[in-house]
Amino acid sequence: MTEIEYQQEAGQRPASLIEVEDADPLRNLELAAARAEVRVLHLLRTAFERSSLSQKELAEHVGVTEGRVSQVLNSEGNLKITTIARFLRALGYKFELDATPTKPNIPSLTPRREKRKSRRKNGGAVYYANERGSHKILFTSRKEDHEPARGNFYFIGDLPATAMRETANAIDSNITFRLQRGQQESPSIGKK
Amino acid sequence: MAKVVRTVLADGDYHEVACAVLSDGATSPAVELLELLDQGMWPDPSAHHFPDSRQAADRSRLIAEIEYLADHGEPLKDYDYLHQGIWEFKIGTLRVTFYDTLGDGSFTVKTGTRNDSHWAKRRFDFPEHFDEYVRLGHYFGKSEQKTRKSDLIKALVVREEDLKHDRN
Repeated sequence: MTEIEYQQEAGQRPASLIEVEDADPLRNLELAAARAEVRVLHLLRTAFERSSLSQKELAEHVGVTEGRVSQVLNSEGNLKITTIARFLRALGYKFELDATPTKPNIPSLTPRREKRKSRRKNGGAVYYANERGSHKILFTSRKEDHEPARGNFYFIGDLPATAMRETANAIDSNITFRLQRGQQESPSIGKK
Repeated sequence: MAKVVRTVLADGDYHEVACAVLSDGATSPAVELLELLDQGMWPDPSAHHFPDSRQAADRSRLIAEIEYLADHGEPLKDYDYLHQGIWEFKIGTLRVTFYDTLGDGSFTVKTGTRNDSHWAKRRFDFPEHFDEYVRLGHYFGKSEQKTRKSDLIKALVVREEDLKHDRN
């Protein structure tokens, strides 16, 4: 009994045609291909619409003709994965791929090994700044970001000290909060 | 009138998309179209011979576009506004009409606004408040610049016959 037949027998809502075809090995390959085409197109068009570039400017960025840009945005023919990556990068986006298992017995593609912890331990730092009467907490995971003014930081928010401490700890359990209110200097945080 | 059972194509976060059913309570043009595409026998005016092997891919593309509408609340791009609240999907020369309803047999006309400043030129801004239930109605091949009047009328007839099933 398929999963869909099971659902129907169990009195759940009837399966949609897409659910049925997704479960059909004779159909789901073609559907997967069409889905990928539609989603890539969505990515490219949305990235283009949200950029401030014209088709001409995008063509200059990528090094192709304006006609080619129009072809790509209008999905005329199959796109190479390298073309998609180039266009997205020119529009200011990094192209990432992911694949998820379609059945519970299919292994996940996430890495089997845990990421190394030392990288985060060495780089973890939280800065607490008093700026125009509001309290800001900034988080960096980069070892070289010693000073708030120079580093790459994530703004956590204007929160009460306790909440900021909790937020910082939630972000990186290796970080403890040591700075006092109003302190702006480095490094505020020791390692656990 | 007894309610009919419609083939649901996609049940997404924004819309349920199903196939309209004619007044006989059984015939569904969209179901018929999917079967024809499956066999490569949809009478595509641009096809050189039948069965046309490209039609299986067109069928999948149509289904993926429908899924996108159900999941995102608007069609991707290959659509147009026809008239009186009727829209169409465009896959090559194939046109499939669709419309929205509250599911109780009612509908309100949500007109499309042509946005000529959009990069895709003939883009119609899709209404934000399209009703929850979307039905696929009439299908036809388009080889001329303008949609034939007979197809516009047929699209309205299919909607009327389909929505009648939902009215008490």
